[in-house]
Amino acid sequence: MMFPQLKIAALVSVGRNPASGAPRAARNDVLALDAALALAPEVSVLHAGDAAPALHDYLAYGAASVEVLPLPAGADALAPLAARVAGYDLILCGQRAEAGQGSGTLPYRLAKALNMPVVSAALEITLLGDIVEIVQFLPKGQRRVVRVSLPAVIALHPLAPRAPRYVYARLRAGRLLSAPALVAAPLPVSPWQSEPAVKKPQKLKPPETRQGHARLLGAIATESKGGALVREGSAAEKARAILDYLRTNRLIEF
Amino acid sequence: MHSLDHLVTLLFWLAVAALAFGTMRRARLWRAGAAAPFNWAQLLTVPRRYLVDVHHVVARDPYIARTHMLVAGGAVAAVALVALNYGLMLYWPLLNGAIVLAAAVMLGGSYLVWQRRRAPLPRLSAGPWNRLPYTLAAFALGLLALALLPSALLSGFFAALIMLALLAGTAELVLGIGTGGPMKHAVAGVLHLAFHPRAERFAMRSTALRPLDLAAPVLGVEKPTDFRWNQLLGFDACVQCGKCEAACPAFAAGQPLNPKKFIQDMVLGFSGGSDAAFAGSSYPGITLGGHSGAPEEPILPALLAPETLWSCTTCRACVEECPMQIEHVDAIIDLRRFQTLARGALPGKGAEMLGNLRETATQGGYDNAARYHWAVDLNVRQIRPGESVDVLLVAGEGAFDMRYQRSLRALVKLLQAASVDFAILGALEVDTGDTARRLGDEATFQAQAARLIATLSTLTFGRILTADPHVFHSLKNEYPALGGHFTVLHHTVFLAGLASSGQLKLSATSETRAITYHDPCYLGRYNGETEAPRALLRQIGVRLTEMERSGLRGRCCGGGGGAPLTDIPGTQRIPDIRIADARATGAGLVAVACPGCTAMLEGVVGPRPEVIDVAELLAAALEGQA
Repeated sequence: MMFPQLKIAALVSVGRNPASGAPRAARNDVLALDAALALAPEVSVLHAGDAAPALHDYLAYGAASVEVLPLPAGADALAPLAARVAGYDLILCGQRAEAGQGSGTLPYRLAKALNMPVVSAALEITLLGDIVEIVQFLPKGQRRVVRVSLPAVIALHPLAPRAPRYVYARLRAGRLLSAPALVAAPLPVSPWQSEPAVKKPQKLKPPETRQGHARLLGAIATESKGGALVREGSAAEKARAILDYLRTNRLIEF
Repeated sequence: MHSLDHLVTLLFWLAVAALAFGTMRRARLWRAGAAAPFNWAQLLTVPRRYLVDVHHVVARDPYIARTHMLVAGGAVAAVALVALNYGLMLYWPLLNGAIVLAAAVMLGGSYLVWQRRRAPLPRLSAGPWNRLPYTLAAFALGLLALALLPSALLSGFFAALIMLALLAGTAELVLGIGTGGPMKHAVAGVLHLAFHPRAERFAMRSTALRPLDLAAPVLGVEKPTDFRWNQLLGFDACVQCGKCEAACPAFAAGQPLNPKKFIQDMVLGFSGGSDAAFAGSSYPGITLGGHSGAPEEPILPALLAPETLWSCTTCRACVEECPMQIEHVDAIIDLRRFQTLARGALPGKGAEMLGNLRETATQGGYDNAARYHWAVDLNVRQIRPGESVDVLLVAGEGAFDMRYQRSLRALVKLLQAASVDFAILGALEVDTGDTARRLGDEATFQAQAARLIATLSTLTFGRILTADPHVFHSLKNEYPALGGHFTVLHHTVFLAGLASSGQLKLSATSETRAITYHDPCYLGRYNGETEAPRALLRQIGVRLTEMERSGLRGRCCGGGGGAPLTDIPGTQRIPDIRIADARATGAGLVAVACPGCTAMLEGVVGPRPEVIDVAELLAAALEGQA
């Protein structure tokens, strides 16, 4: 059902392909856009940031235009977005961005700034007058139906059952619009610290070759698990013994 | 001078007028199509195209070739003589004698047509086509009687009978074009040969798709009038012989596609109407009467079900079989272009693959840097700008498939054994976009092509070598239109050259199983290369047992045209049919030369012949190895 009188905004970001890192339309935001287009023929599609070429993908997914709210590097998208969508009835977005901080907090902070209710993990959205009914995702196949009154911020779950279509003709027809710059605050200091990942050494373990019965017996027995104690000999001989062990158990391939 | 002769003269000129009027009427329908170059002088090409190109196809079935020669030859000669003798009011007895001869030939041919239609093959259309032997015979008999019997001796009744027969035959011959009857093929067929939408095919094997102007107001074909006018004319040339239907792998697999019905539906589209009167086999699983079209109405879904459009494997078996030289696959792709570019309506995994291509330059969504992991331990050079190399190896999407990596490794082993100066494109390679193009996504194809052409233009190499016929076809035949001109070789052709020059030393194979060879469509039908792989197999002592459909008429594996992605269900799978073909020869091993065919044929469950690439068979037969 279409509600042309509603003012609906879809917030979109630049995502990144997990394999190549290529910028693209964020999958979750595409779902939000598609859900918005199913509710009203005209949707304001907003992006805070640079007019990246990847935003054209949203045109292909059905946005008539994408309005780009300029944002200095490192600035928080909250203030310009909140100023832009004030007065809207429904604000849809993906739950979490694919690039950048991806903290998933924007819908909550936006709702707080606009003093609106927020519903996350939305799978299906139905408008009932000035009330929205939302089917929410819960783990293990469970679903929950919640209702909120408009205006509201709704974050789509990545598994929302929608089939957005990429249409080149729409990409060709649509365009990116730049909005005047708005004052933006710097990003809030993240409480998280980042440090390089360290690869932990892995224990080489010979593959289990015993049958199940023998393994059970081994679990209750206190006898030695096999192997040999090498105390005698030179360092080279001890190294040789280790190497032989690794080779016989096919833990190294040379 | 007798009144009967004058009557015939009148009938002749009436018939000429009816033919002209009908042709004009039909031409108005064709001309509603989009613009295409036009030149009257092209009519001069018809005799050669008819006698060489059409005959080449028709002659595969000697019975119908003889039949058509007698009927059409007799009819054309008879009509020409009637034009002379009666049209110009000469009434010479000598010409009457010649008419007798021509009419007798035509009558003989009509008898053969009748014989053919007594127990018709399922691929033939019935309906109006079944009356053809009778109307043709009536025309021939009328002429015979007219020319043989002195009209002074004829009773009024008998003269009326003769006129009736002539009238029936003439009506069949001249009203067909105006009313869409069976004999419209005579006019539309001749004009189609002259103004063929793919005129290059009469000079050489022409299989490349036309580039689409991405700025065009309509992307591809939505309504029948979006086809170019000569494509519409081409649909009208169809004689409903059903040779395409018999060759179509999707039809055989029970998928909802029948090339003959497809062409007839396109005719319905530009002439308007419902398919209830269609007198041939329908699309499997789709009953007749449910579809109708009009010139300015969208073709999908009212006239054509989307499942029909996406069942095609673009194998060109229908085009290869068509005596009227109709281009089914071009029409399918035109329709797909609109569906993909203007509607985004691809079934199955098609859209996902196109997204992968745009984002990762691979069909499977892989990390493109992993494209050459198969070669890391083979000590193969990766090409770099500024370094020149003779042969550049382009792997294609098969490089991500662990099965096809075996074939690629075998190929590298052969190249190294023959001391070829070669390098791989490495992580610089991006997908050719071939599959995107078959699925109608010309935008993604052209973007991929521009990327690959830009990469290749920074490198110095002599030739491109690939083991993937789809890469081969697209680089060799379709990139030139986009500005990429390269010398491209398929690995079987290149290896055959090395083997015959002695650079590649091969011994006899140790393989004892019976071997058959499966022709990839994109190597055989698309590029005419059926001999090189066979020559290579002969070189290692293989005695091939050929399958029933092989060479240029080989049966598709089901993997072309993005069909595995759109995955339209049928009653069986195309690769199962192909493996059944192989089993029927008693072969224990199917030699292949394409990653697509390998994957499709290896996907057949149950006991089946082993599927091995020609390169792997050769690598196992390299001389001097343990």
